[in-house]
Amino acid sequence: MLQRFYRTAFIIVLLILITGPVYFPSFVVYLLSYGLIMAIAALALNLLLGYTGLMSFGHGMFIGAGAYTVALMMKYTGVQSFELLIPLSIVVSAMLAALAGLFCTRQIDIYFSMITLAFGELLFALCSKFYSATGGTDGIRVKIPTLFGYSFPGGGEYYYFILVVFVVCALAIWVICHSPFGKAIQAVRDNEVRVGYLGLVVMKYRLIAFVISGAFTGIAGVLMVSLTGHAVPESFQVFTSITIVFMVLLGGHTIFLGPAVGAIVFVFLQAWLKPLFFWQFFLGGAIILLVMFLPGGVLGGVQLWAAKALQRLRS
Amino acid sequence: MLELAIPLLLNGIFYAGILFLLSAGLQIIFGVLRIVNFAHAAAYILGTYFSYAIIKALPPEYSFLYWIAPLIAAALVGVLGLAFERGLLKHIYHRHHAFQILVTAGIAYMVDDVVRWKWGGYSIGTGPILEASVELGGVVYPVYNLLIILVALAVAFLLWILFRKTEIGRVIRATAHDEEITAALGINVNWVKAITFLFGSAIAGLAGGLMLPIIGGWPGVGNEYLILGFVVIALAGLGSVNGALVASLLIGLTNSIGVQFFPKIELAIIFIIMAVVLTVKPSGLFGAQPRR
Amino acid sequence: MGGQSPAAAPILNTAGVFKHFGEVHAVDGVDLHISPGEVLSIVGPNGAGKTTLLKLLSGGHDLDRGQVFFLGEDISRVSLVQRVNRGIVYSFQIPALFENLTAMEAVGLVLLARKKKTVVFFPVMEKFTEIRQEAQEILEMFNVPGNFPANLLPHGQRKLLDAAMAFAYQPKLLLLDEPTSGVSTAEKAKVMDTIMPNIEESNTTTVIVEHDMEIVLRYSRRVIVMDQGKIFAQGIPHEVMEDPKVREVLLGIPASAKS
Repeated sequence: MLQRFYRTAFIIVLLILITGPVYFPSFVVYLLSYGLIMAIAALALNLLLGYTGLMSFGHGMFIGAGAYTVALMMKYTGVQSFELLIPLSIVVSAMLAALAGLFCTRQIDIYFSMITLAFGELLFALCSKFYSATGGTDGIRVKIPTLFGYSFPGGGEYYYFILVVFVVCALAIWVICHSPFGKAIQAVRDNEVRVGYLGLVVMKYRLIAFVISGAFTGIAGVLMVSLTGHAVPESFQVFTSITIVFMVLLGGHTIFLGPAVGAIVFVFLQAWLKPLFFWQFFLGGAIILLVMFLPGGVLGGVQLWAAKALQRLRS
Repeated sequence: MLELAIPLLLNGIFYAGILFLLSAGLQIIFGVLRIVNFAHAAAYILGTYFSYAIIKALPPEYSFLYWIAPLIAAALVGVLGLAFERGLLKHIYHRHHAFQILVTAGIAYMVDDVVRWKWGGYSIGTGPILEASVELGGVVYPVYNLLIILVALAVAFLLWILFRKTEIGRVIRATAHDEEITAALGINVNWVKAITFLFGSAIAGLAGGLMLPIIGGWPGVGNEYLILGFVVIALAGLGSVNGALVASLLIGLTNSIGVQFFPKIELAIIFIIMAVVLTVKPSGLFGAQPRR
Repeated sequence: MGGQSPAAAPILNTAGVFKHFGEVHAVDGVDLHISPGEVLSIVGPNGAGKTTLLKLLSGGHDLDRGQVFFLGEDISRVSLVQRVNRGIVYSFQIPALFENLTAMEAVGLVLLARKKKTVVFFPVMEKFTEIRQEAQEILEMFNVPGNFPANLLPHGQRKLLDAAMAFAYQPKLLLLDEPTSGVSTAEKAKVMDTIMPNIEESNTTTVIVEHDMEIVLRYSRRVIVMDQGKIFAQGIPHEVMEDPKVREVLLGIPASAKS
């Protein structure tokens, strides 16, 4: 019974997402685009957090990597098509993740988190300083890439592309999380000592998870920079990374789609609050309230509510 | 050559002093509470702004009291830290460390906006309180900066005495080492945690207050120092105050030399050093727990 | 207290292994040999060094001194992970399970680890027919329900799952650390009756650390008595148990008292 509720809810949401641009005003479509992009990043982060048990405070560096791959390629080589830029950014992000991962995954727990944070800041520093190449703190302006020759005339069309990429990425991440590898990283999360007694090297799985997570986040970076039109070094910073973490926790890190829900909710929440001059205050407050009272996130809360409602219906 | 070396050295030690003031607090908080305290940036910025408010409130005849503004600010920050720890933080000690970090980060965001609300988004400053400078080996260097170095050394010394020679220091070290056993011995561990957080925050507030005449203040002023503070404690090994001293010196001097000779990548050099050290010794220079 | 002369080359033997924790000599010079296919019990009072010895064999502890030979090779410096790959598998006294995975998934993971097929991203685990059947069989052999996450299982089934996970690796040497500890006396026989037939059928060389003498007498062909880190006595169980000095060590009944 509960399953049917979830399935219907899921289908309704999907229908809204598909038909949205028809009746939503363009700024809502923009927010949905932004939300879906961050949803990819959030799902990717949760592969690492919810499934492998590692909290990264440096995932912003992969958004930046994807963004700057596009920006630099456009600036210096004239490449401007998604079909080239997305695979390229996957490679770049994966390589960055492999390099950073070699240092980060040697650590555990809080030490891991600190090193990822440091790496993100390191890249921010490099990006800001090399003004001549990267435009420093001004960033680089980017126009939206083409897709097999097709130029996106407007936000609505680009939105559908983002939606498709999101669905593809979400499916891919879902399969990975439920594959043997997915079970292996969950085992690492649950009992890394025992994993050693299975004859498996724990660090290997953490590293691979880190690379996969980074690669998908890089895709989000590509889509992001194409949406906003501007690659900025701030992407690499801890604020971006913490925002992604917050999105994951907001939606719920124990349910697969939780992070995606969290990302979209956050984007709309931020849009609603930002005009209020002190929105950082509310963001901070929301983070605290969330951690204290809603550890399962929005979807976790929905789960509890739905289960209780069901019980009441039955009695 | 000497005239190049001396300011380099002095700047490096000065920077190290500020880093130490920040990271010492982080280390003792981590040692006892096992939390990486993102709210430390809030302690720093409040130290700056409280100091500013005090100085601005003092009539000119009392300008000699400007000296104690950072101290009062530090005390205020300490009290606020205590309130935060007792009011909020203690409820989430049992939670996963990441959640604790998020709560401290949340407070940092909130404090930033409170500062923005009360004092505006533009930068504030008092200008140097002390114009005097001194000549050292042919180089002119501000006395105020030297004073900050002295304060940092004094704090280091006081912490050393606190931990090695006093009863309360022993209690704090015991709690940091093994909370359960210490509690079983009848020590009120909650009180120890509260005091530790108070001291840690106060030291950061002191740093903020001291730096006000030099760099002023603006919303977010503490963030860069916080990041570097994290680098220091990661390099030093979480929880080690001695390590923080060494690491601060290392980073301070690297920064000073880097800014002079390799301005583009000076920040990167610091991170590279950190990466190298952590590869060789993952628990940091003075790190306690071996991490594979 | 006659020892058995090893019939064939031992599958594992140790030479003077030492392990100390500070002042305490947990394992104080042990020469051990294990013959292929045998079921060997290690008994002794608390603190005798039984678990430490087992961990020295599995790789969970590093040797301070001495050597361990497995299948003729010196594995003293071989890491835990490598030893598992060579076939030395350890099952925990306090079950070390993957709390959020179901028993089926956990056993499946062991099977995949054995076959070196863990870094596989497709298809999803449930569709992995290759191991699904074998996992199902093993769960039935150990009487563990497959579809509950481990943290919902009662203690007895947790012990069985831990043993099942070790067994699923098809170890050449299985190390069971107190397989019935924490299990009620009524259940103990049930647990052992579930585990042992599987071991006997597959002829798996097994070392069991146990406290319960009845279990030792019933299931093992050889027993080693440890005390204060050394081997005190060894031999055929019912012979060893008759020895008054052994009874003193194990039960605290002075050797001079009449039995």
